[in-house]
Amino acid sequence: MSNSQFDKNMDCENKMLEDNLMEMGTKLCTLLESNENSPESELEPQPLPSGSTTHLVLAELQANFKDLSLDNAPHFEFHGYGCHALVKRTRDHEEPIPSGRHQKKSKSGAGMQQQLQRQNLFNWNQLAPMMRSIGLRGDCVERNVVVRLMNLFKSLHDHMNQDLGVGPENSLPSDYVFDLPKKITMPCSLDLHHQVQVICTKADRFLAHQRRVLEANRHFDYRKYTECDKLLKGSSTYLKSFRQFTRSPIRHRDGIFLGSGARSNALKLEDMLTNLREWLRAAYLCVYVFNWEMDHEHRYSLAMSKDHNALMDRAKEQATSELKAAQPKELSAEEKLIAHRFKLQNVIECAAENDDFLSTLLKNPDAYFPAEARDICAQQEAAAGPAAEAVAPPVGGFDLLDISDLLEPSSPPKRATTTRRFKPLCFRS
Amino acid sequence: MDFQTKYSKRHLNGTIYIATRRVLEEKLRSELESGAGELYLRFKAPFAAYDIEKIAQLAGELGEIYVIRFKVDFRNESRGYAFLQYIDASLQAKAMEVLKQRFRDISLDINILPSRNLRELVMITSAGTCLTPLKVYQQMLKLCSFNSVRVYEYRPNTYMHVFSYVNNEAATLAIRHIRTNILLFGSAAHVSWLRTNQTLDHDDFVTECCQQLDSQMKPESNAESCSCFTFSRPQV
Amino acid sequence: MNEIIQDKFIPQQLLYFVAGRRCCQEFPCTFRSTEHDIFQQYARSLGLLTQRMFSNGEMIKVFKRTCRHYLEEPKIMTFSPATAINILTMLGRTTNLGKDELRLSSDFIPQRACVAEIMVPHLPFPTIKPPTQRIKDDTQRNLLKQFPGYSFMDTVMQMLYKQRVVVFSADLSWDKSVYMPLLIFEDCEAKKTNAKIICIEKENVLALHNSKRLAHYFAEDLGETVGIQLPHSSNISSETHIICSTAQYVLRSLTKQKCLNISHFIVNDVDLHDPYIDVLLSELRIALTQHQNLRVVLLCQMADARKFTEFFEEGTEFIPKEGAPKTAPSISYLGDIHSRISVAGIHKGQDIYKETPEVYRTKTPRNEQMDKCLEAYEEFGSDLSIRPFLYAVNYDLVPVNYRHSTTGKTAVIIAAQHNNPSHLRVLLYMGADPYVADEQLQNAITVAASMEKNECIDILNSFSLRGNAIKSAKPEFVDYDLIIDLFYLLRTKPEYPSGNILVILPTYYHIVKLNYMLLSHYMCGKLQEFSIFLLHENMGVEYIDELVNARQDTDKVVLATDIVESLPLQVSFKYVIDTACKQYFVYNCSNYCAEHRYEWVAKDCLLRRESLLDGAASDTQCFRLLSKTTFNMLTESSPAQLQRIQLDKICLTVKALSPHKIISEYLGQTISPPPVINVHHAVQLLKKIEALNEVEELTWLGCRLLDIPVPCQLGRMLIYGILLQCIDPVLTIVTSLSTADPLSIPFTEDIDSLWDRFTIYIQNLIKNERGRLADNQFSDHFIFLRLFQDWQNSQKSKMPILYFTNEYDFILNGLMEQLSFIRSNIVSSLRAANLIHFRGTMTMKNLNVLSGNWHVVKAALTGGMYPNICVLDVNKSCLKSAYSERMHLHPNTVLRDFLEPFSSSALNFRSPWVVCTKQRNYILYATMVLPMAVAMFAGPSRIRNSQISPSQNDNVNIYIDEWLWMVMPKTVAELVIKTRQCFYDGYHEFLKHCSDQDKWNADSLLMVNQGLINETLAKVFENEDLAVGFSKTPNIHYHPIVKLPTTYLLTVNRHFSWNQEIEDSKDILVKRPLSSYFDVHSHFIERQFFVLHTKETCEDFYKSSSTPFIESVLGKFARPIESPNRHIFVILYKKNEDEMLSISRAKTINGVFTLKEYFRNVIPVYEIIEACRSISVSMPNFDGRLICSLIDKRVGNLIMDLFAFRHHWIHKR
Repeated sequence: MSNSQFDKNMDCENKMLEDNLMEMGTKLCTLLESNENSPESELEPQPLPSGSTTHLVLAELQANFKDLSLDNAPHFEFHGYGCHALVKRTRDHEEPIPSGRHQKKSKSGAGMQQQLQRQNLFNWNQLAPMMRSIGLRGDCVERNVVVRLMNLFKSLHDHMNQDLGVGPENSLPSDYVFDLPKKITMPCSLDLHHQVQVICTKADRFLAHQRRVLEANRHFDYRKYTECDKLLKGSSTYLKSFRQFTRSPIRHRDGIFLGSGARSNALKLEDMLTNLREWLRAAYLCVYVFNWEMDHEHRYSLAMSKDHNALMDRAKEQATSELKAAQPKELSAEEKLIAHRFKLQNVIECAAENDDFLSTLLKNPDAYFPAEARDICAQQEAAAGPAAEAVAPPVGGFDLLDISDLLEPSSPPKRATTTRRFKPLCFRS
Repeated sequence: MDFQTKYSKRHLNGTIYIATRRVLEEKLRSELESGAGELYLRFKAPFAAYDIEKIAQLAGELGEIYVIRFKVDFRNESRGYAFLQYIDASLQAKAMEVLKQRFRDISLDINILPSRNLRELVMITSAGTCLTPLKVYQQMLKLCSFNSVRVYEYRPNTYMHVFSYVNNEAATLAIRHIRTNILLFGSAAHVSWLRTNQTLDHDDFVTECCQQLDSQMKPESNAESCSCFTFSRPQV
Repeated sequence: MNEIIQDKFIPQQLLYFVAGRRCCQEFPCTFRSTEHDIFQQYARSLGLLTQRMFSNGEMIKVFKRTCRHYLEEPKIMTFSPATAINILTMLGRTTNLGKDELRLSSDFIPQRACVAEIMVPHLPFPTIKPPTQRIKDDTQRNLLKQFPGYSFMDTVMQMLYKQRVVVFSADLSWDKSVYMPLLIFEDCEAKKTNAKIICIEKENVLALHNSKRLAHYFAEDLGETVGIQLPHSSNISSETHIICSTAQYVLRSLTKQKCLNISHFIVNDVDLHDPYIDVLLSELRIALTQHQNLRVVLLCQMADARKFTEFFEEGTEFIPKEGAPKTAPSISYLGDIHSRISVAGIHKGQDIYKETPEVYRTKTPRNEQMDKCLEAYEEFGSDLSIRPFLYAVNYDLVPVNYRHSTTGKTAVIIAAQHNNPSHLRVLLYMGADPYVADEQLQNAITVAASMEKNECIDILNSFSLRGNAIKSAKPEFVDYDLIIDLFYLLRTKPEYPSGNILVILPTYYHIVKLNYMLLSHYMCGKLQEFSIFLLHENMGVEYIDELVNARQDTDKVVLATDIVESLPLQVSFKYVIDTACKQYFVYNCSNYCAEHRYEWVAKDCLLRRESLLDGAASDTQCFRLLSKTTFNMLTESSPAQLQRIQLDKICLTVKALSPHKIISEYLGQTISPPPVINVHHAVQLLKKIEALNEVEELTWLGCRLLDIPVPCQLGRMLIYGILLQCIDPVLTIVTSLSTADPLSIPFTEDIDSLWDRFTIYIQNLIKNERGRLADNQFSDHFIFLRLFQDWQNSQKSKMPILYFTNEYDFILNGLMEQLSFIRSNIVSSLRAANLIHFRGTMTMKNLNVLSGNWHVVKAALTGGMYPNICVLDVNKSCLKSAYSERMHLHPNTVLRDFLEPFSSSALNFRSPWVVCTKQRNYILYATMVLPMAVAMFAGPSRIRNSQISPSQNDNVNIYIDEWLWMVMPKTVAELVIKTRQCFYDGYHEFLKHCSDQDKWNADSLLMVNQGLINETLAKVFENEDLAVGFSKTPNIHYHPIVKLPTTYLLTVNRHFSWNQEIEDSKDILVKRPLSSYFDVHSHFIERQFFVLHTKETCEDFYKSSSTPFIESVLGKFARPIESPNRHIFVILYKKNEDEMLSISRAKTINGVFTLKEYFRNVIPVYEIIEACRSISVSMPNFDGRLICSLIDKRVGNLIMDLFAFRHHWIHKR
């Protein structure tokens, strides 16, 4: 048991003991002054005639004096009941115990509560003035431009960090716990100038990257190339006009703009950010899909396309079978009969709710029990029978590197992603 | 401070001790141990700002410190008070004047008072045949040593024990021990500090009524009106 | 381009998704809303579902039909106008929202903490210097000589001079953890070199014990040469040269100061691979590169030492040849043990309940249903017809050997009747016993034989060939009955000489249960006398002291967990009973939670345990409760814990140690690198609860969680408890979640053979009790509170109750003892982490203002349990959660009844939201919470505007996280978001500045605001709770705990130990020579029983009866016949009620005739008469006119048994 805890905590313990003691003290005081037995003394089973147990204590002491190695025994002093020394002392210094130490604090605000209770039949509309008085308008629209801008910046960063293709995470169950780490590039700053600067640089690089991807596919399909080219050029031009904000005044403190110029600039910035986002989106998507299509049409080997098509067919099949499986299950006739005849409706329903498990359990019990358990009733030679070979249901951990056959072909100009290392080296050249 | 040869520093749970390494002669030591010339240093909040070694250093300028005890919390920041003793107990009065000023000079707001040296605990055990004063006495001896105990039977068969310890520190230690083991003293036992302005040792408490028991536990003289008694270790 | 996107790209993306393993996928925000339409169209044609959602603009999410993340529609959330007014009033008073000014900084700058700013909770280690010379006295020299390694001293020191890393491998008897530090210290003293030796142990209590022993060598108090540094006790001075601590604590302090000025690190038990020790080894490896003179000594037991030198890439091993010659103990396995017991012929003789079972059957609906399941199976015999029964066994805790109430048939018999080998096999796997006979005395084997069904006969034959029931093949089954049988063997049979017995059990719960069983058998006088001692991780050092200081001549029985493997005790054991299993806390990455799992230990562990036997003594024996075949299959060495545990705390520790390294990278370089996926999950969880920020840096929350000794999620719950000012109930819940639950519904395996037949009955009663405690609050966590409170109330007197009533009461007390021990440890840690202050506004008192308010506690649970939230889908009648696995309600939880389909349980739900503690796919404990609580406390601490999108009719959708989705009126949304902001402002403020106590005192506005919010929330939640139909909460009174008895088991065992009685009767002992007293080889004790009439209650009787009274009525009869081999028992009988009240042992102690109460209960006389009839003993007559009378010994024994073997739930009145 830790000791240090005691000397520091348990304020309440101290309090309580103190109160106890205080109470005892009071009793002691009154008792001595009135020199009467307190009413509680009937609790004492056999009050001794003298009222004092001195002789008993003494007798016990004498009986045990051998055990008390007297050489280093602490001092012992005993004052029996009614000892006058005690009376004197307590009378001397005992001060009156302050009463009402534990007066309860009056509950503030209780009155107001009652008042509110009475107004329980309020109409929502009537709340409006009250809300407005503290700056709420009840429309869930963010009023602060800086906050809106920051959200936009974040969104832009997100867009540029986005990974459009199907990555290896697709072969893993989709629980959020397994979201792969996302790249965060937005600086932690409320300085709008700085944010604009960062976004400009980043968008520049982003567009340059897209350009490289585009150029790699130029010779495949010129019509589509020009379409994408336009988008990229447009974005670049738009980005240039954006640079003005690295200089124009948009300073603010805690969300309040310094000067009206700053405010109008900020509003303009917001507008342009939204547009820029649209440009980047369109450019990104088009370039990506262009590259993707060219991959499929020109870069895939025959075997790869075949694989791919087979995969797609399988997916379609799977979709239909899943659709079928998702149909709500009806109870079978036999189950209905059992439920009806034996009044087992609820148990049958329970069993139906756990249909998957029970079916597998019956079909393939070996998957569920440890080897020790199976060993016990396995026939020596039958142990290697067909049941044992059946596929275990996919339980337990999965392998991070198991990317199945789902990989998208990757083209060289693809941006480095966090998931890169899981991809095979290359599909072509 | 010179922690190599002159002083030693020790951290025990909630206390940091800085004590002299000098070996003192028996009598002086026992005097100091029982709290001679102890000072109580009370800091003004915020406590975290108080540098323990600095305070000790400053206090050491006045004379050789016997021990200075800082009470600290889990982060070893001061809990707002400390105890200080000089080897020369007579420095107490001087310290109260000089030190306070010295502290103020380096803008430490520390109030210095003579220590009350609370060192007595009250334990109340409920009535019952199983826990006689003697049993309590013996049980208590097993837990930690004390100087003396006075037992008052304030209601027939119900006792109040006042244990006194060598100094405040021992009493603090004891109260912790007792609380952990309060079960040993019966179901309704309570223990607490005896908060009086004077300690039992020094007040005008009358003990003449008590008969001294001899080594055979027999009363030495005949009892008169009062049946109280006392025994202590044979005076050497 | 657009056509290609729409016609080719999107369809293909969707097909990829279909083929993949994901059940749902969010498509990147790059797609535009026209493309979203295409997604929707095409997805629908593939049979997929879609949802548009908002997070950074509109996005599209696609689901497969099986997906459990998918909320088809948002959950509605709204509140009453009264609530709105409450909130508005509060907002008006607390915030300055009227201005445009915002607290932007905390909103947009990620919460990042600076580890260096967190004070390390102890003094810096004292400066390093050579020890001062001292003169060794003889006792010290002798002590040193006593070590088995004494003769190797020079070799070891030479090695340490040559090499910086030394691995010392030898078994426990070498006492390395004391020997090595002393050796090094002595050497430094002689050579006048700097010495600062850090000794690392696995557990706090081990470090405490070790430091005491070290200090004992120097004949000093702790805190001089030897110091200790632990979270809650430190004792250290400038003279300290040897410091004992634990790895976890040292790591914590290394965050601030690296291994500067330390000369030696001695790490004990490295082979056990405690996760923190493994991390420490990594730190040491780094430190060695920086500090030339650092020496590392690793102590291990018989492990492969090379592993460690390879890890450090330097160093040497030291494996001494056997010191003293040792005799190998004889080792017996399960089969051998069984046969030895049956040969020995043990008579426990308690058949008192043989005739009773039928009374308890057939009564409950659950029995009826199970009977019908069996009937249906018997009639149809098909796969479909056995399913209900299999369901009940698997999901409803019905024993697989359930017998039909009238026919007595079990499922196995019916399967044999139908000649269905696959059913038979499944049932046998599930643990069915083919030897159970029905009313016609047929069992599965005879049935199969009579029907000449070959395949079934084959299966049953091979089953019977393997011998043991399948039960004992499961590590989680601890065979208490077998252990008791072994005790009968060891403590009554003359061929087994008496000696100390060590029983190694997997958990504390097992210890407590076995403790009761042993005591009750022993107190009946059936076993030779012994004293019981307990050793486990969560105990005060007084438990060890009690054992170490026990008298030499006591026969000691030590019940221990595996901690005993690292605790060098100076106690020689003659017998070891090893259950050979251990409870691991294993992280299961397929369902995202850690679970307790029982497993057989590895061979090296069995060897360690075996080596605890006294090597010098001959005929020592080790009983391993596993079969020889299982033993042969065990692995050689145990897996490292780091590879299996949930890594949340480890990740935080690692991050604090090296803030600039990626966690997975750091952990990959430890000696036992954990699987990447576990690390990844842990990091994700930490990010989810914002203990790490998006780029994996520690946040302030992370820093605080580091110092709370519970898993991160529970730690966060405590922080919510603090902020919502209801710390006490939250503490109770958190502690209960980390200890054994006294009210969990037992499996068949948990119930010992005596009560095996009543399983269903007991389960029903416990379920009822849970229901009673939950009191319609739809919360299992509430049960913890009530249970603790009830127990606390029953502890009014601080004196532990020393008599026994029944096993449940004993176990409850034992578990609560541990609970309050851990609880107070957590409190100290919270104080040490400055989350609770000693003064000012954050004191314990202030933080308990709302402790009586269950509604607020529920809110704290919501915040703390996030992301473990489930939501009810009414249409599909299932629970959906962020975990894609199916979620089932465990029969434990009060949210469902036995054999109740989820669709019916769901009808009662008051709210769709459930926060839960899960185990695998089961919801073990659940609490139903308000939508408002979820809207307030789930999700990230900041809800951004981009997570909100408009919906119809002036409503908005709020996407709290990836899958939680709510719709609410705009006004409500605005109010909720503003309230959240207020609350979380305080939350971040508190986490960041809580260590600055003065700030909290000076700037009391912080807490006033928080108080105001909480007060409002309390009102609001109460209103809303009542509005959705929760019944009124029974009061959960909060009263500060003064001090609970924390050593109940210690006290009880001491009270009933023979050791104690000897001390009492010292005088008698002096007169009587010892030998004649104890050399009773065959244990034979005669018992005599007196019946004593009383008119009072039991309590009054024992209070009022004085010694002279007992002497006068009993003493004169009993005294003459009392002898060491004849025990006198006194039964208290209340005539006017016709009940037996209590049984005591009477004994002359110090010449005084005294009663020591053994059992107290109320046993009606008719029960005794019935029991007499069942074992055909002549009926007693208690009508004697005398106050006291001697009764027939057999009747007496029977009454004794009725008192000692009584079941709380069965005999409950």
